[in-house]
Amino acid sequence: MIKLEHMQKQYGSFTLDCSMKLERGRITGLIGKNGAGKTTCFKAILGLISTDGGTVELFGKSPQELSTADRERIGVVLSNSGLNGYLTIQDYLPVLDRIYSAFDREAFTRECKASRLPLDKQIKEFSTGMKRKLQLLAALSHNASLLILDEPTAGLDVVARDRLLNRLRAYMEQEDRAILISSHVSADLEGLCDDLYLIDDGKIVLHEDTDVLLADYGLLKVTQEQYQTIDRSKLLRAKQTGYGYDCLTNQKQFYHDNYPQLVIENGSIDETILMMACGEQPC
Amino acid sequence: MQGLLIKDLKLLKMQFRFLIMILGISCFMLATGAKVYFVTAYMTLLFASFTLNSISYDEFENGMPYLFTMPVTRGQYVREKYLFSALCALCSWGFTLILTTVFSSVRQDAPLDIGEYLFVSLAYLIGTFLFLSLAIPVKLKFGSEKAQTVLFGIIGVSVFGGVLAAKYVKTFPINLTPLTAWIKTASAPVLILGLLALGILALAASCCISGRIMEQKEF
Repeated sequence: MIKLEHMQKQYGSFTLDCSMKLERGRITGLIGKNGAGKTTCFKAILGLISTDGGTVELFGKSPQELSTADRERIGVVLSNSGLNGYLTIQDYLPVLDRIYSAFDREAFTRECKASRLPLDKQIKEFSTGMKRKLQLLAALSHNASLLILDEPTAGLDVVARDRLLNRLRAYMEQEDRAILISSHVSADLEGLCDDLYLIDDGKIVLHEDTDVLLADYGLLKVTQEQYQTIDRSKLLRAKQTGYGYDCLTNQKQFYHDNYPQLVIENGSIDETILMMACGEQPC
Repeated sequence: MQGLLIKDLKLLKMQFRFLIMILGISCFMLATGAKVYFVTAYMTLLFASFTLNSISYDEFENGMPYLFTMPVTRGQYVREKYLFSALCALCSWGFTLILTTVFSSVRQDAPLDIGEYLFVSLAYLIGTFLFLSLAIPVKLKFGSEKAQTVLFGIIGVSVFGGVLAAKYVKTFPINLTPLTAWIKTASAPVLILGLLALGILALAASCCISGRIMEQKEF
């Protein structure tokens, strides 16, 4: 559904060079620290910015070639933009009704009420969490086959976040749908995504199925001496610490089997981001 | 485009109090003897310029990127802004004509020369179209904050240039006499059609420029 091949964008000294794929029936996560290029990626996919090289495809077309019918198939949550703050949800009902041919006005109104979003209050008066909920409900209101969600859980409390994630799982029960999502909260992505792309300093540094990442990745905590003696060819990154080294591997079992004396922690998204962003290639 | 028009009408409705205030001031001016020509120009331009605010509202809290994730093309957005502006200008102009005519009768002024009044009012409407033709692309290009400064700058330079041109027109190697002679002798319908054509052409050219500005814009 989405295909990026060396999509490039230059902002001063920052260069984004991104290749990734989102397939039908999958939930793909895009993770990375602040300023890594996640939002720029989303904007390029949605045609909000021009690119300096490479290709971007949605439904097999470039964003500029997408027809309004194609765009109706996309539901979006953006981290730094949303519905007009001067209008109310009530004001927006006829607007969305005209813009989206498949807009389900009754369901949308019902969901807004269930989410305790006031229909007659200006959206600018909403909290960040309420605005996020509203955007997500709008994205789900017109039978979109692709959701592009940039930080949809930002500003939500634990309960609201859990509900939102359940809604996304329910959304995926229908075939031929897909979600591209980014989030700072790794727990959101661990339980939701089929695969993850890790972006750092404008480049995709890791692509892995979430199951593999959680099962096979691990963090070795080794002393200086242990670091010198172990097989370092199966390490992805190493970072010097007070006691020696933290080492990220995607072959945790190998070290379990061959170096039973090592302290090995299970892989997590947070550790992987940290190590891939701050660690170095082991020498 | 219908969805965008509804959105802008809702935003206009939000400014209802301000519109009423302008209407009140206009009625006050008319009641206290202000010239109907002045009030016509004042109301038509002011009401029409409200439509420019809809661009500012779209930009509020960085709202443009989200708007363009919807099934709305940049071309549709631009065309809708011009349609909305032209409709608002026409409606406010028509309403002002009725209002000034009523006040003029109530005040028992010297009877208006309807032909002359309609012609001058039409010139104001075309003037409003010309203003919108300039203001919309400037607003889209520079954003709400910078646009006002740029607009004042352009108008200032234009006025200054106009004054200079009027002063030194005789030294130019262009002979304007046939044009002025034609204007003096042309019939009212021809002049009206000419004015209308000028306004519509300006709006159409401006719409093309705005379209290009939006196509190149990054969000």
